[in-house]
Amino acid sequence: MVKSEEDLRRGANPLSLRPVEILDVRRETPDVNTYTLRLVDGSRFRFRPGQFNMVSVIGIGESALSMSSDPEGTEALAEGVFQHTIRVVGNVTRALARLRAGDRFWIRGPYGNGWPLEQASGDLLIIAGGIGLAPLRPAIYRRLAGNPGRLEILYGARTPGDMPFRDEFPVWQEGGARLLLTADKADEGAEWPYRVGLVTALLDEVEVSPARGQVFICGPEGMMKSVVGALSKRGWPPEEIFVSLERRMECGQKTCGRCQIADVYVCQDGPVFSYAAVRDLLGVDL
Amino acid sequence: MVLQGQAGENAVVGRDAFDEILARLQERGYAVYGTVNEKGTGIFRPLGGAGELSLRCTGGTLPPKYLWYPPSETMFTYDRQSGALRSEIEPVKQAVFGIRPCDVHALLALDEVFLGGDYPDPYYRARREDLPLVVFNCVESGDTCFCSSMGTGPGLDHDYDLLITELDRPGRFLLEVGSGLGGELVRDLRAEVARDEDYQVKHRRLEDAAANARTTLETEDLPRLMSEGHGHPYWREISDKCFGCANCTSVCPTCYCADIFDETDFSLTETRRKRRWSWCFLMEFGAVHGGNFRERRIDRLRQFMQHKLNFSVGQYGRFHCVGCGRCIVWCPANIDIAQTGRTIRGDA
Amino acid sequence: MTDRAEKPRLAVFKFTSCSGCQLPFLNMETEILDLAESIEVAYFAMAGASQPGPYDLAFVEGGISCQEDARRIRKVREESRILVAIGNCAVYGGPQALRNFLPLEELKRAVYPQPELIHCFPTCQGIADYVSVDGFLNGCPVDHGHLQDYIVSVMLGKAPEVSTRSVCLECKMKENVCLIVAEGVACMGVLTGSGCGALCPSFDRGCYGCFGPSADPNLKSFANLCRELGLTEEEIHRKFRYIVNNAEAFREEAERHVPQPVES
Repeated sequence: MVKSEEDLRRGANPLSLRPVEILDVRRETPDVNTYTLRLVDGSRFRFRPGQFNMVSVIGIGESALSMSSDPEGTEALAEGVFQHTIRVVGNVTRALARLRAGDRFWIRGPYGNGWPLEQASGDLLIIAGGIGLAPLRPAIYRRLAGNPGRLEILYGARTPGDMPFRDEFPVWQEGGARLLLTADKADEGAEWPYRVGLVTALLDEVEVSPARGQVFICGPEGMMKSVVGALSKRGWPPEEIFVSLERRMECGQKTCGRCQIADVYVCQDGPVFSYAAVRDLLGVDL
Repeated sequence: MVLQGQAGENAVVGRDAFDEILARLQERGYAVYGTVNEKGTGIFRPLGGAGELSLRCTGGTLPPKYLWYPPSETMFTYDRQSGALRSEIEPVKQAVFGIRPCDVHALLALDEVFLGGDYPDPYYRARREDLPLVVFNCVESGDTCFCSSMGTGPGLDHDYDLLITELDRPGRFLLEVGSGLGGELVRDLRAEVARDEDYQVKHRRLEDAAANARTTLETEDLPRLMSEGHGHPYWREISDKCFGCANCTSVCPTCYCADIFDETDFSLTETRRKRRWSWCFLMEFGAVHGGNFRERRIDRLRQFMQHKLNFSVGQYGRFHCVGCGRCIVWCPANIDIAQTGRTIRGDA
Repeated sequence: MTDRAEKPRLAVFKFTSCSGCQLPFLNMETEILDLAESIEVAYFAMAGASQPGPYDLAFVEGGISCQEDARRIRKVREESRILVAIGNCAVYGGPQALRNFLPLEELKRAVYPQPELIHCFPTCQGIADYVSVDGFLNGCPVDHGHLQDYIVSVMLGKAPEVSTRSVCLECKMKENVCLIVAEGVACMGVLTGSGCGALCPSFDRGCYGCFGPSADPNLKSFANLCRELGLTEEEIHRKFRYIVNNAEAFREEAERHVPQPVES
């Protein structure tokens, strides 16, 4: 959790919750919604791209979910709003899917380290699978807002219909991003001018070169492993590859023990790790 | 002599001094816990009088950990009608009379886990901040004790309020005062002056206890050797025996893993958010949507032992095994963490 | 967040069983008033409720032992949105599933004076052998805490979670001294799911396995332990062919320890 001087002075209870109000629910895909939110106390919610909240629907439980909005976008600065983009997979996300604009739920956070954007000063290659695009979206907007380096985005999902943020893709492209898309399978009869197949197949088309950039990857762990493997073969050094890992978390505070992989806690040491730091952990069956 | 009641003081006392110390703790409002002989072992119970105390350490079933980290606790209550959250963190006044050095080291390990980060855990802190410790040094090693290997016993020289070592005549104890509070507990007490011989007896008894330990584990370079031994065939051998029952982790004084969950009453008026102990041995522990990171028993067993003898060093710079031996005593499959460590490192 | 829709309609049905799994409902003394406020008890013969379906949540006690049971459980399934098997009989077939392992006609003749009057299936099975089941709560009897969690979860719109803890952990939390370690008793707690509060071990009796196999029971190791403690193959066989005899893991383990015929 990011500490502020004020929090430390107050000795804040890191496990207590803050209510948020839903301003808007937007259906991205059949099982993914984007929630536009604001803290009920009216303060601006600050976070870094790649960080997450522990999100509560009290009575149902709590779940670790990444923020998906630009933390320094116009709306964030002007109105203090932020977004979560959430796929329905379990009890908490199912309960969230029942909520509407005007409803409230609870959060604590932000937790975790986030993407090393300040370190990624050259070209940036972003590779996402499925809902893994959500925690990368804040990083995409931060890059588009200022960095002169090249930005390439490789994105794959099960079907074109499973891709969130589709209407923003043209905006990203106009902003200078090169966007390469693929779907595991295209819908019958639907227009799909992009590739069909796994995201690794797009790697041959990448223009960003290993010598002068970083890679940020988020997706299912199997996909990340194969992407990392393929990048390594193409000469990307492990120090320049960053992955966001997902583990079960109860606390976000390094005390519940759930997210440990060997001596690493995903909640605070991560969720973003350089491949160099976790290569052995991912390879070995821990 | 009469004790002045200052940190750094020492004296030789009889067992009657225990009654006085206990009474003073109770007068100050502490619930005092100590090991009592029960069910053929030592169990931490609230003490009525000091006469109930067992001076012989048998390890017992649960370590005193539950006093500062309860098996289940309510973190806050949510009123479902009003939407109000209520978090009541009341300071708890407890004391342990006769805690052993290994368990003090376990407590210090938990302090790092719960209080060491930027945001100390307020629930733990409420039970930890005012927790007087009257420590008994161990002058004998139990069959499964390996504190001397882990550097956590049989003697302690820090983090006590009072330290008591049994000397060689029954009923004579060397009393050392480690804090202002410890001093208050013994001020004006009549006692014998502690002589050099008494200290010699103390050191000899502690050295003997260490030398006579029947369980040992060389810790030099152990984390690296454990990492290299991740694929050692011994893991298969013991996981074939392991019941996966989690007895080992449930009696471990350093295990801190937990679930956080919501409990709502039938009338749906109130939800309590609770935290309760959980263990890497449970099938549910590594479960996520669409899979389980430790579905195989061998992975769960290895996680437990690797965490204690290897990963904890990377995380906190100390072993989260304090050599108390409880997991060895209470394993129904006779699996032994010290034996495992020795086997993996090639000593056995 | 406290949108309380209409009260869900609860039903409790009994099949081939001892009725013991209905008692935990009646024993919820302090909670029963709260329960009555939040749900409508529509069908519960033992409590005098017998309204027709449909039901939102039906708990079923008892195994399926005859044609009439089979017909009735299908009807209950049709009438119930969520159907939950409670207790050893509904989950596994119960103690009476012991007959599954013996010739039916011989048994009838041994027990009844007029065996021709008995019309039953050769086996007694859990209800999942006949209908689709949404949840399983083990026990002999079922634990009232599990029942309460289940009902509250359904009311809140949450998929109920049943812990994978073993009986051992309940013993440890009560600071019971382990019977295997201290007394050399072949206690089945190490193989058995929690919920009973370690009732038997708290009275120095080894666990009989009422709550059925835990999430990942190490049966082979337990059999080895039994042998080390001096149990014969027949005694090991009987441990698994006892209260929860028809859970797959226990049933198969019993078959691995076939009693040797006694030579005459």
